[in-house]
Amino acid sequence: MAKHEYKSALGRAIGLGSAQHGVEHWLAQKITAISNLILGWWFVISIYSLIGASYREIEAWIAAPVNAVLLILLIISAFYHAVLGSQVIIEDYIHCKWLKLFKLVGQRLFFFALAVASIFAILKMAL
Amino acid sequence: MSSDTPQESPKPRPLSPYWIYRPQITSVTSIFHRMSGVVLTLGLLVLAWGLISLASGDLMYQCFMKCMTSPVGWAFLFGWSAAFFYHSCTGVRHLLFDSGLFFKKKQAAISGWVVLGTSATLTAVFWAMVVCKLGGMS
Repeated sequence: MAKHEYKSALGRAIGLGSAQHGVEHWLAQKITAISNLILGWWFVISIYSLIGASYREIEAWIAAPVNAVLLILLIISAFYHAVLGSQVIIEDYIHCKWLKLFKLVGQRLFFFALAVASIFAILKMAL
Repeated sequence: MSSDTPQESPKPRPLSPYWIYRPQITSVTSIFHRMSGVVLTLGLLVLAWGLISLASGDLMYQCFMKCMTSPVGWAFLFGWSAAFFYHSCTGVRHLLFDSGLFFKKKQAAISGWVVLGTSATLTAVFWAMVVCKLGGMS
């Protein structure tokens, strides 16, 4: 063990700080950041190509397997990233304990429900 | 407070650095990153609304499109796209920061300006393309 190492070998191996969590939040945020980067740009380009398209054309575009899968991936990745980001913002700015808990739980349930509804809408058009 | 408060105005208490620091490019890009994240999240709700209305049939979709092409709708779409371009640029910067790159004071400042310039350019180019495409159709 290094001279200035205050952590025990076990503490270092487990790799958690005093908060006992956080690494997975950080890692998930980074991974979804990368997938959002790819899927987000794909989405922006797709929307641009769909300008002026009729209802039937948009429906047909979503029904194409590649587009349906990428859209569902975008929904999962973007909502996941949004939940993680909102969590940090709530933790930083809301200091009343119960309100904070209410909002943290509420935003998770809300975003999860909305993501499921979006995926259902995509599948309804694609299948 | 109480009667023993001296007549002259009390010495102002030191303020939190949060209030007295001059805005710097690093702090401004940081808070904009957060704010653009909030805008993108709101946009995600609109995206969900759009998908659900698409799945609910032509009539619901026309209603959605009418909202999106109203002045408020266009303003939202512009803000959403600007937030996307900005957040994706600063997002890449954050990923680079996390891997230990560009973390020197000067590099962080320069990359901040680069990010601002790039996202403004991307937003302008994107909307110029959209306007051209809309103009070509009408």
